[in-house]
Amino acid sequence: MKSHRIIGVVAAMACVVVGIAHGSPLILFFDLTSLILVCSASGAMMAATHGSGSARLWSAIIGWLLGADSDPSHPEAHRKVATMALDFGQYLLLAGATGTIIGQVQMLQNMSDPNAIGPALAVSLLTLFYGGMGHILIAVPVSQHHLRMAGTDASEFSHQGAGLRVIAVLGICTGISFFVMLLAMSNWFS
Amino acid sequence: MNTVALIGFICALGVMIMGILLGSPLEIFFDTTAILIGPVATLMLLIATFGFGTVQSAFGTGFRGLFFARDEPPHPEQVKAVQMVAGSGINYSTLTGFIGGLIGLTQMLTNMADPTAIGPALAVCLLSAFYAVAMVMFVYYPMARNADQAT
Repeated sequence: MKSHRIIGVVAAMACVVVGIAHGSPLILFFDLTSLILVCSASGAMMAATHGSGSARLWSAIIGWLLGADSDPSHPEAHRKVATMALDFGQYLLLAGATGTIIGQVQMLQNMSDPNAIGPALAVSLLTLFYGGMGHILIAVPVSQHHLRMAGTDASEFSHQGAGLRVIAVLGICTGISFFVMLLAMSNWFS
Repeated sequence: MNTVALIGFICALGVMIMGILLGSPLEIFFDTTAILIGPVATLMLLIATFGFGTVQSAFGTGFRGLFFARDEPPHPEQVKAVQMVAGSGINYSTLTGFIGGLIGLTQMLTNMADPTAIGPALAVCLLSAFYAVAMVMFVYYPMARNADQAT
């Protein structure tokens, strides 16, 4: 029984929650639709990529959180779980990015009311927030744990940064465009 | 037939389409310019890099590997081709998404006098990023990872 894992995850989450609560009401950061979209899309893509074997990842995550001691005698099995956890993290980021763009495109269709732009943009960013939180709180620790049990490191895995790179591109595109759009709306150019 | 994988793929697509339909009609996510710059340019670049036959057989092997049970282990050369095509597909999608974003931005910036033109140009910018993310998430990443597992 190793309780340091669940304590660490809960403490990290508590830090974020306290940081949010310090500046704004917590309810601003809760949007059930975004949460369902990110979780179900990334879970379903895990099933699409790894087939029925992806069920092992969910039990591995729960076992890791509850502090079950894993058996180091099967390095190949640990390697497989580590790959799946890595993929789960990438899918969380990608699903978050997709949800964010969906929200922003929908927001752009509804530009007539300037007061509605801020809240709509905030809600669209929440999918990326949930994806990123799932990535750092669950996917990265679980994959690192199982990589250590397998006796390898992440450097030999391909495509591990795909989600992060896409988010960088997305951030540059949308960041600049929204900045310019807000300048245009405030008649800065005229 | 890998039923779990097929159901998972359809569910993921369905969740995304549901997410779109909750807020708006589906057709605002269809933009010819962004499709040309994003997925089509990616495919052309893949064909330019690997040749038509390799790309075709890589997509065939990749999707068979995802959704159908393998009777015999695939040929190592074919798996290698799928890995290369899918890995390059991830990179090309990301880069074409970025280029599409820059094109949309340039179009918008050269035409700032007309406020009604901002929306469509910004749509090109955002939708090319959307197609990049969607192609990586639904096509290239599963293909690449599945080919890795086969070796």
